[in-house]
Amino acid sequence: MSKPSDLVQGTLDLLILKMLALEPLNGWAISQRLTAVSGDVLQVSDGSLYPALHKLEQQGWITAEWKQSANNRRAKFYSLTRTGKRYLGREVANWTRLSDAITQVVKLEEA
Amino acid sequence: MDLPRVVRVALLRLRSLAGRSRVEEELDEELRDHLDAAIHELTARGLTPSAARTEALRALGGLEAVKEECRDRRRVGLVENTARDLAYGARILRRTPGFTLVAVLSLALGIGANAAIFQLLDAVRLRALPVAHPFDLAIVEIANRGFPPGGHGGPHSDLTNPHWERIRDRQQVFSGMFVWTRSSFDLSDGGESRFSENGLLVSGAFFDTLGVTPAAGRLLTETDDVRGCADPAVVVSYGFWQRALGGSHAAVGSRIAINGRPLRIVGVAARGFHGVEVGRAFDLAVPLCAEPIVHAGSGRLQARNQWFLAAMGRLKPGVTVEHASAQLAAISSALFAETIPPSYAPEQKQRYHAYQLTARPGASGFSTLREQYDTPLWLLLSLAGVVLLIACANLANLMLARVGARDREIAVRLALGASRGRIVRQLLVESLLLAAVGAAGAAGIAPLLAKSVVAMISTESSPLFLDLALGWRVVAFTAAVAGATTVLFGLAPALRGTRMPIEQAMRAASRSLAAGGARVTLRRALVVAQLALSLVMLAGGLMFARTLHSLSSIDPGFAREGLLQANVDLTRLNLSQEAVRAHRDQILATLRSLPAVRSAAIASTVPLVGAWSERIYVGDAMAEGLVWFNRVTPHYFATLGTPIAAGRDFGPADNISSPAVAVVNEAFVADVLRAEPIGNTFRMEEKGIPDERFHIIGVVRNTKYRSLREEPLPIVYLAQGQAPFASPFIRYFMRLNGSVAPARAMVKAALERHGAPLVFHFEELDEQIGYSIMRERLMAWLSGFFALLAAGLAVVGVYGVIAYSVQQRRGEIAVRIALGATRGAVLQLVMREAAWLLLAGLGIGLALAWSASGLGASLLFGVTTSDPVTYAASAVVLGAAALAATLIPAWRAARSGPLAALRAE
Repeated sequence: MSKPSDLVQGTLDLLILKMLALEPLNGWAISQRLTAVSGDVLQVSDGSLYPALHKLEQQGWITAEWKQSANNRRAKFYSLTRTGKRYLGREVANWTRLSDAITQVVKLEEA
Repeated sequence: MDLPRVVRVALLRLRSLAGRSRVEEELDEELRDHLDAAIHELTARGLTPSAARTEALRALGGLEAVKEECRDRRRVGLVENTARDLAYGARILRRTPGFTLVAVLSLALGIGANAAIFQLLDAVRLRALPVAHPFDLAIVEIANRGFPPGGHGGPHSDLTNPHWERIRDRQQVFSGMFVWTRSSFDLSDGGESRFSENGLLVSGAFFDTLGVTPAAGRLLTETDDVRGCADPAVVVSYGFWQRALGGSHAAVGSRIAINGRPLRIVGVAARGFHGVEVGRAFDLAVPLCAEPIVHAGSGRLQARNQWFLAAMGRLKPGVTVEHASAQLAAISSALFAETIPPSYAPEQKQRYHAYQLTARPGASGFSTLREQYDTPLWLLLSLAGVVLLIACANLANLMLARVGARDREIAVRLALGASRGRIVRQLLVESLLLAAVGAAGAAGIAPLLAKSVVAMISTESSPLFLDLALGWRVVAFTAAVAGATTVLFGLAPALRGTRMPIEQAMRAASRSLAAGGARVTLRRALVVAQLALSLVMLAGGLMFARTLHSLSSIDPGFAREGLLQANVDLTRLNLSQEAVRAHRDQILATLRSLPAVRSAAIASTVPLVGAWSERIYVGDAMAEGLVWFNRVTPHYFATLGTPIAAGRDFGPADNISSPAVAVVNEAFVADVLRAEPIGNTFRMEEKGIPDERFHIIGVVRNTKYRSLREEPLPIVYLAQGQAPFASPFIRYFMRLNGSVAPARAMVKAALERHGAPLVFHFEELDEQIGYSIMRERLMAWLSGFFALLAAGLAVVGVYGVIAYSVQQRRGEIAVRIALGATRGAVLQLVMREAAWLLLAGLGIGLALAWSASGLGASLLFGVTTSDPVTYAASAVVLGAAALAATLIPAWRAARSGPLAALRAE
């Protein structure tokens, strides 16, 4: 199986955190949004989403609580913690720096 | 509320661990939500419900796999899984009690034996003295001394007192220095002696140099040890204080009788200080200046040929042992020139003058045990190591068989999504569990084994004291062995068990005929190795057993049973020479009159511990080699049971006024005299009186003089009645009628009835002989024990392999039986395999034993390392036992009906 669209290591965390910075979401909703926002470019398998969520929760960047979902069922909603927000800020800055740098390199004219 | 992150993380982890079931439920529910939503979405797109479910599960990548990964991400997976693995492992092990028992027992015995022997080795050889900075201590001795003429007191008799006084005054490399000697103190007030063999005579700086503190009172100092001290002080050990003085503080300041002289106890040494000799714990220490008081008339402090002191010093800061040696060597020449014993012959004087003092590291103290038991203990440690190897091979074998039997379980778990690492970890945890239980068992066995070894080489008169506290070395050693064992027998089968792809594993598990060819080969190799090693052990054990047997059946030249020795000490009576003679003869007459005593005599030397040697002149030439001496009364030979080969025994007429006479043994005639003995004469070197010639009046059979192992030594017996000096210390030997105990009581009563208050002490020669072969007994018992252990393990191993192979071939055997094979034919089929294993194992074992036979050669007696009977006997015993073990599965296979076997398939 080729993996052309595998996420850069650590990028999934960034995407999840960013999504949760906008509003608290449950797992299914995150999965839906990721697909909707990035289209088919970033294929996040549901299989790697949940482990990532559990890891982020365990690290203290996000927190989870059980709430009523749209279809009136109890669901586990994740939201960003304060330290998570700070962490996201740092990660976004890192990402911007990194992607800018890569963009510069990629745009170099061939002599 | 936003808790600090660290706290929350900790709480979450704790929750993940503690509230595991709730976390699990939540995980379940979360994933179920996801699946429901996904299925809902997919059905909305037009898929059938079942297709939608399959698709949703596929997208998730397997429910259990995601769950497992979520758990892993929670970072508590390792702890949690290990806990679960442990519980699972314990359950599995409980379900197969036979396997567990064999595994744990072989580990416990294997590790336990190693730890016990190592514990002994550590105590005897490796451990430093329990004093301050032991590594600054150095032992001072004469590098090239040999065994000079004169008196040698005790096992560490390196120096004379004239040496010590000069070294003390001239050395510049030690900040403190002392000498010590072991001494036996009679602590009774009279009557039957109560000896402490653990008395010490020490120079003043003994305690200060070692840095020992008092537990009560004070310790000896330089001011206690001044030549001619009239009322010497005594320091007792903590153990003696507790044991003999009740630990009372009133004991400090009180007086205690030492060899009849009441001496003042000034203090108690710190608990845990046992002296400087390994294997001994001192009871009492008196200053060296007390020597003339506690050993009246020995003259050892002045004598230049009385070797009885051992020296130790604490190196000054920055001084190495080499520096110390160099300085000691520099003062040697003058020191030895000043102290040449006048009685020495010229060539002996020359040798003496060339002596050089040297220093060697003294951290682990003085030890005779070390010399005596060094080789045996290292040999025993390697034997124990081999036992452990065999135990490990056995375990590997058992584990392999289990992995074989668990192929199906492992295949199913792999198919259900367990990772290979997870399964290997599970198997490893199981092995660790076994190793831990085995090591715990070993920790229980080791001290017992070590203690029984100590008991085996301890005697009543000189109890062996070894500090067998389970030190860190032993713990580290045991842990290392247990760990290595675990990896050895746990990891290999675990990796083997999971290497094959799932499909093959499933197939293999369902069809036993095809499976595990390589595994069987490995198991066979292991069994062959076990057989070979245990054959080596058996042969070794047998050799030591034969050594013990030949030593205990040696003819010492006298009848060893029913012989009682009573040592009577008249020194406390302060008698004149005439009075000593009168008492001596009167006691002898009393003993002879007792009905329990058949005959009695006096001798100056005890058989097997003799130490009186001289050079003699036959004609004008000095005889080659030393001649050994004893001074005896008439009837000595009859009492000991040594036959007179020619001439006569001493008689009452051989006294001071008659010509000097001697009885010699046959070795003297053959090796020294080389002429017709009766009527011949010889002269003694040290007497230096040319006309004092000894006339040989009789020849007796050879007897052992110094040890059971020796070749016959030339011995000369002189007449007690012609002795120039009557020693107040008298050894009576009695040949008894009937058993020892009542006779002993009768003799004791008679001695107590004697006119003057006597000090006396009993020995039994038979017992003494037993002590003299203690080391051989130890080797025989322990190597025998290890050999049986090894052989037992190997036999279990053979049984295991054959039983497994029979199980593997159930189908084949069933088919054969169905086609009409007789039981005999099936039996033969199975036994043939066993026979090959045996032949290979025994063959390799014989070759190994042959090449390893040199290792213990120095400890053997009366059996050669190439003794064919020993090898044959070991091979036959091991072979028979192994064949008997294979008969069980073979017989079972032969009796099985074809249907039962096929059904099992």
